[in-house]
Amino acid sequence: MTLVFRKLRKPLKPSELKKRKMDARLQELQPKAILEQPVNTDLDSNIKLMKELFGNSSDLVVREFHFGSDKEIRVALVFIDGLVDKVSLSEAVLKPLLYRTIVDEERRLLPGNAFELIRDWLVTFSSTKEVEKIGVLLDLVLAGFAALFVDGFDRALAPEVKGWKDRSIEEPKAESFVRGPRDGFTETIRTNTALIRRRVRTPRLRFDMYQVGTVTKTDVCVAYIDGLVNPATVEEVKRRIESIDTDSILESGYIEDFIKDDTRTPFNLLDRTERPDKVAGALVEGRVAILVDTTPFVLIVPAVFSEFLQSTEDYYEWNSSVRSLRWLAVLITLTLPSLYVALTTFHQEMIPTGLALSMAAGREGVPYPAVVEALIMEVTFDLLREAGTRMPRSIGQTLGVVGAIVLGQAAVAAGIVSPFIVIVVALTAVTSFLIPNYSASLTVRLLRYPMLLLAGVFGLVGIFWGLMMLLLHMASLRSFGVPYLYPITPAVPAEWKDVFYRAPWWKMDKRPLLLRSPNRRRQSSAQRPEFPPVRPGREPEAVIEENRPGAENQDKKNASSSGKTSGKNGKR
Amino acid sequence: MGIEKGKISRIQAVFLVTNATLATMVLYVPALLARETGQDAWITVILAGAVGVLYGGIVVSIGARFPDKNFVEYSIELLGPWAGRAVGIIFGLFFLYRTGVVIREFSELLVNLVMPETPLVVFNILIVSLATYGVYLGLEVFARVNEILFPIALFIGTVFIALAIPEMEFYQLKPVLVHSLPALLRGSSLLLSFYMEGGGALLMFYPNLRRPEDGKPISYQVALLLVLAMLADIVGVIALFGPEEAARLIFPTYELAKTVHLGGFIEHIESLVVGIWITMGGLKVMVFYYVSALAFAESWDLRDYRPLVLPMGMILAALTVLEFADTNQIRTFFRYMPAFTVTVLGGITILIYLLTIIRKKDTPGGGAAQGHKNERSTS
Repeated sequence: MTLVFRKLRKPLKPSELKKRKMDARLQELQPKAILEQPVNTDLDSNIKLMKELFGNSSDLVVREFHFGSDKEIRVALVFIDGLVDKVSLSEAVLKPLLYRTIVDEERRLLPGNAFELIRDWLVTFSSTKEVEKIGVLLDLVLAGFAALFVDGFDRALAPEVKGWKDRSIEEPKAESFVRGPRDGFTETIRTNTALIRRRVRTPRLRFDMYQVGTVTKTDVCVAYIDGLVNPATVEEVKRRIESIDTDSILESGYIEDFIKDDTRTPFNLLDRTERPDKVAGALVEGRVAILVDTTPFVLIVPAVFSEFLQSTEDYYEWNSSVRSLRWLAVLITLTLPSLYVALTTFHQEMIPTGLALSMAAGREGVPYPAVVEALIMEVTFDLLREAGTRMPRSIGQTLGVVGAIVLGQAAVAAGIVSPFIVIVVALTAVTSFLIPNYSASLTVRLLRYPMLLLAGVFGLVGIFWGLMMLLLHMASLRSFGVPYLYPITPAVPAEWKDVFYRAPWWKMDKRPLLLRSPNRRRQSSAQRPEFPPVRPGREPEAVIEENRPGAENQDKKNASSSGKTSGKNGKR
Repeated sequence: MGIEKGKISRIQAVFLVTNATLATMVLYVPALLARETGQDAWITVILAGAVGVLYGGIVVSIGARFPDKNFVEYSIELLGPWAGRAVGIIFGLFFLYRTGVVIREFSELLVNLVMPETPLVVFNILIVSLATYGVYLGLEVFARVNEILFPIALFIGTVFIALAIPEMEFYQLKPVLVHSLPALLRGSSLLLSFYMEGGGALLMFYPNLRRPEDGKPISYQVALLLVLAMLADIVGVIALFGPEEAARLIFPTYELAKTVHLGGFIEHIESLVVGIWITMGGLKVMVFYYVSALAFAESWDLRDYRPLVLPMGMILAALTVLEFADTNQIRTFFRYMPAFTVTVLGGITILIYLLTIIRKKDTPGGGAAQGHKNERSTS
């Protein structure tokens, strides 16, 4: 039914949209007039204005001082306490100003030339901006710059003295590996870009910055490798980010909701990660990453479903069978409880006789139909899991005991559920954790419930109906132009080597087809390591014989020549 | 360019047309063929395959002349607005009716074999809702789903027939060629009518092929797949049950699946076959439903066929209940279906084909080059 209503809803006209946007702009917190006005010549009015703008907020620091040979030059330093590094501020800005009265013999600091001399000779900070507008200056101060007003000049200097308490680089908690780099993103966007840049040392790696959020003014960074990425994808990502009009972006999840292709789906159409190695890998494949300041979670687009079953570790530790195991896990998570319900309710003849008898014995005395029984246990498990996620770690153990013994064992003993459904639910729980992507795992777990209900009403027919609906829905999704089920369908069999198993690296010599990279080839082909050919007359046994410790000590010449042959052998 | 902007690849088209023909063909046809021609049924498959290739040739030669137009569009161009639209509406009605029949066939199967206590209309609504959703999402989407599921279904079908081989007795195929030629022709005309529906569907999404010059290989591959699948199915059924028994059964392929057991613990897995039939039948219904909706939309000059989908779904849900009283009537319908299909669908197709020849409408610009140009300008 929603399909019809969606068609009927009238799309907004462009002019209407524009008007709405204007309304939002009018609601902006700062009056535009103040932000547009230039820096005052008069120092006192500048200070007054800053204090007014910040409303005497306690973290605003205004340091006024005089310097010059006769202390005739008045300057003021404005910054936000906690956002600047005070050591570098005093080393690079305060000290030179306060201790030096002249630059050299020809150039004396006078009220007339103070600004130029401070800018060119005194402020020894590597990145300093010269600002003429209050609005720009305000943004810089809020981003951790210091503002230096000089009396008599309608400009201000803004040295970049950013420095705040930051979490150190730690191993990501949600994505932990046995093998692979241990660093994870932090909350500072610059650290994160550096972590990526350290892995991808090409000048073509681009970080394009945007500011989103009228109140929070969050930095959002679009990262891609020019020449490997499809330019149209980058354009589309930028267009979608630019069109966001909201007051706050506090996490990349905000961005995700705004730029998703479709929000009426339980599937997530963007990948997110805390691992710089994963982002680097995605960039090299020709994808686009979106970094957001104040969060370690980076978005990767376009994303397809099969990616959620790929762990980054697969690419380090070669265990090709684990991929197909994960597909099986998805299928089990999705259908096992509903299969149990369908088989016990409608199709008992499909269960082998012995098993059917013991299942009937187990279900004896259970007062509910199988579907209710399954729902009770599944909901209980989901409650336990959610409680475990949100709970302080120290109580987690208690929860495990409560879940396993009290709810599992006792429910069976009390005759509320049969022991078989406990096995089914436990197995489903285990398989759902095999899906490496947390939110994909949640999606699959969520979809169990409609499947359960369908199985309870229509049996196997319902399960197949549900799976078909699900497939149709998934086939209709797209993420930034890439079909969601690619490369399974539209089928690109050449790329299944990265979907159902993981081929060795020398085999994966092309970038994914539908990412439409202008440079598809990753590496030269035919790099398969070959078994060294055995030269006639140099059987391994003969070489071992030659290199025997007894033979080596006979003669220096002899020893060196045999060493050579062994070296050659090692190389071939 | 018409309403549908989606493109499908060659392999998607092959699977889609094959499934649109095969999904119900394996359901009822083996029994009907066994009744008509007994152990000689496999000959009718080959005969029908040969005629089917001819028909496929006609379809491809019409399609290649209008690489960017579907059947209704060029019938309007060739016959003028009134007659052309009438043809389009007849075409749409034909497929609408057939959609109803197909849905009824599958719900009949489900009621008879899986859940005898559930009312028929429940299954009708299940299948109609599934198909409505698929058709609403569009050609590209269900072509993709079909691309995943069809090979799996084909593989499982092959495995089932292979596992039934130990139970088969191939002497039941003898003696060969005891039935008269008219009987053989009658049998093959039934198969041919199924092929024709596949051809009719192909005519509707010919302009959506990614490369229009793929039409010929598509028609050959479809014919080959169909003949092989039907041969395996019919030979298996007759070798397993014998011609007399096979003719009495309602769903002989299902009975074949019932005999399969493996290693003492895989038994009674015929429900799996039913499950596959639901999915593949759903996809077949989607193809017919889509063709019908598109034909109506083109005939009425709509910009989109989607507004028609939901009302058509309601009509279908009612139609499927009203069409037949019981399974026997469906079998009766299949006895006379060749006359229905060959006259309506075959008649329309051949009419258009003759018109293209009379009007000397050539393949534009030698076919390939022009086709590419059109594709580029529209995409």
